[in-house]
Amino acid sequence: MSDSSLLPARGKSIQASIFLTIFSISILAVFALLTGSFADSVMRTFEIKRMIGAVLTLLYLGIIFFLILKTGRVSKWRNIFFISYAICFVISFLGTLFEQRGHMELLDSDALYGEAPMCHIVVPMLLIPMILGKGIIFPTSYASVPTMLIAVIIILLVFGRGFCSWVCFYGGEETLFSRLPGKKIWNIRKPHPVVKAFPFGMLFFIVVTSFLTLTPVYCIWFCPFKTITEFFEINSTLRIFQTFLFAMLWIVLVVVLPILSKKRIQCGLFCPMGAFFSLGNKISPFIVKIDTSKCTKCLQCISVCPTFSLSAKTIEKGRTEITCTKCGDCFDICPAGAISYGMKGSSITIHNHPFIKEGRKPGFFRRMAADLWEPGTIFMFGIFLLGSVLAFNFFNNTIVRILRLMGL
Amino acid sequence: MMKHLSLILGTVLILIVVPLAIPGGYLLFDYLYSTGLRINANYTGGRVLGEITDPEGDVLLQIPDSFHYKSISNSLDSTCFSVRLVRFPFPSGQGIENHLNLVAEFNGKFSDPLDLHNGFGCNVIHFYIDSPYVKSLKTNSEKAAAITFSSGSWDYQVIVDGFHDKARIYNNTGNLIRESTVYVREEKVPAPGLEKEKWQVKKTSVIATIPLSFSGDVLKGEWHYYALTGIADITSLSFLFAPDKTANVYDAINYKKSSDAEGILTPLVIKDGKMQ
Ligand code: SF4
Ligand code: SF4
Ligand code: SF4
Repeated sequence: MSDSSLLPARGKSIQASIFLTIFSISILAVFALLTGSFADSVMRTFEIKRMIGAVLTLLYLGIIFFLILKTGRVSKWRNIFFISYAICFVISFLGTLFEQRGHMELLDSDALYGEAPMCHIVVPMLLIPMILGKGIIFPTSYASVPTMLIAVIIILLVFGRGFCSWVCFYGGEETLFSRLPGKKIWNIRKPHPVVKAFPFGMLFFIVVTSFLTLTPVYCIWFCPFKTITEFFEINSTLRIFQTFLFAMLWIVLVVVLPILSKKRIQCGLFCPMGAFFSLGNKISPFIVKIDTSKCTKCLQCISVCPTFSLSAKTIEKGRTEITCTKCGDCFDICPAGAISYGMKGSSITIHNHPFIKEGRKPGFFRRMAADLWEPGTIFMFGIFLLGSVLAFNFFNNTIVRILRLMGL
Repeated sequence: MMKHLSLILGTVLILIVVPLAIPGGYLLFDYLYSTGLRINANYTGGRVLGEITDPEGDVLLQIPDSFHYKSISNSLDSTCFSVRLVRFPFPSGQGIENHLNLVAEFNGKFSDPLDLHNGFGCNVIHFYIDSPYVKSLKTNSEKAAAITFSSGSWDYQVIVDGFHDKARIYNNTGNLIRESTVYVREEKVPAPGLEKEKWQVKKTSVIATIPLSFSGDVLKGEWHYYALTGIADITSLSFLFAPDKTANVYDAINYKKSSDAEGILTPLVIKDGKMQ
């Protein structure tokens, strides 16, 4: 039997936190130098602002990851990372668009000549026409499709819906609005099962209609995030209607309802990609576990879960629903410390570790080993690194823009 | 031991499988490409019905052809003329009408001293279309009255210049019958030491679109397309701006050129959707 009182309630030891932070940030630094647009610009020009941006980005990401590990407050520090990532994505994406095009519209000619940037939400719509019709039904460059395809498939299998709280550059927008200070005006305790199943229905609908029409139906009609990225040029009555529709979806689902309910309404009850990644939760080895022997049935975790992924029933069974984004919000609130990351087929968690012997204070290395060799550390190392790799250029680009604005 | 096994699996997944996405992306790219998988033609500027390429010489007619203009031939001499069909097979709310793209490509960037809407100030492009659809609409008496030519007859003249936002489509009596969308696309390449936004233009494509609702079924019958590129000569403002009133393309262009044009201006012949 292990003695959980000998482990910090949530946080990891200083030695494990420092080791893992340095390890992760070194990998990130090598990766940034070898790939992507940062590497590209370094190869062509040594711009000092970009180097400053890179150093500040690495420092910022390092501090965030260290605090996640050391304090164990996954929810707080992950949310700060996730929100800042979404903000930098918007600044960087729109900044580049305005510089290159002067506006946010994707002209019909850009669409026809495959210049729309590839986005992960497109992947489910591509699959059937790709397999059956040998055609890619999204107006993007050919090279970006296999890259995104393999990335999404691997993320789906390894992390499941963990993507939706650590990697997606849209999810942070909703997290931002749901976390704005203010009272919870609309307390959604338990959405109707039909409402909860809506994202899966939406997924089915867009996959089928995209196949039947050979066009990316979700992108054309519904995607709320076009409001703050780019959208088809508004040159007809149909386009006015479509623009109104997706802008309203953004305002209502991403801004207003999250402010009122403190929940991620779009991610929890609308996004088909969230449903797609939820299917990955069935395969992913990483899970969120509830220790039923510790749980006091206070149900605070249900009220805090942003995507309605907990219910009294699932808590009783010691697990979350399939839609869990592995965000860690419930860990922080649970007064009994009953919730933690776990792995399918293993009883090891941060609170229940075979390296920590009953009644004995673990030594420096034993504690470090126990902190590093547990599901939460393995999961967070992988997914934070992945999120950071994708976020790196957005952070860097934003810092460069700010430095330029300051006239430096 | 069993409880450590899944942790080992998780570690292997993260340290080995996830990084494999990078080389995996390249391998998957090669594999998918070799299977014939492509971006749907609707999203690549359309299915190419036919094209004439002319990277070096002067197969595609450029006027004026006097030696004075040869030094700027890069932005006058079209390197490729293609006709492409953009047709979405089902209604989808895409919002892009089914249409024909008439595409003229040029090396480098067009000059644009006047900062005009289309991004060029000097170049003018005339496309001529010989349409069996227009002929099929004629009444018997109109058909009897029509003068026929062994080659060079046309029904539509599509004029694109930097001074108009739209392509102007004229019939062969010189009347403007329709305006349609024009795109000018610049293909950029990295220039050493420059930011992305200052990349150099390698190729400029001028695309005039003809809605199929207007042109009729372009996959039916024998269609002839001609492309004529030139310069808006400021010493003679009407030059290349005015529509032609003669129903033979060679007659039409002869007054713009000193020499006999037949044989120099090659038509792109597309019969029942196939290039001849
Ligand atoms: S549910 Fe959709 S928008 Fe939300 S985080 Fe997941 S993929 Fe992104
Ligand atoms: S917050 Fe913790 S103790 Fe309360 S119901 Fe949830 S798991 Fe149980
Ligand atoms: S169950 Fe917990 S970890 Fe999963 S989404 Fe809800 S709050 Fe986040």
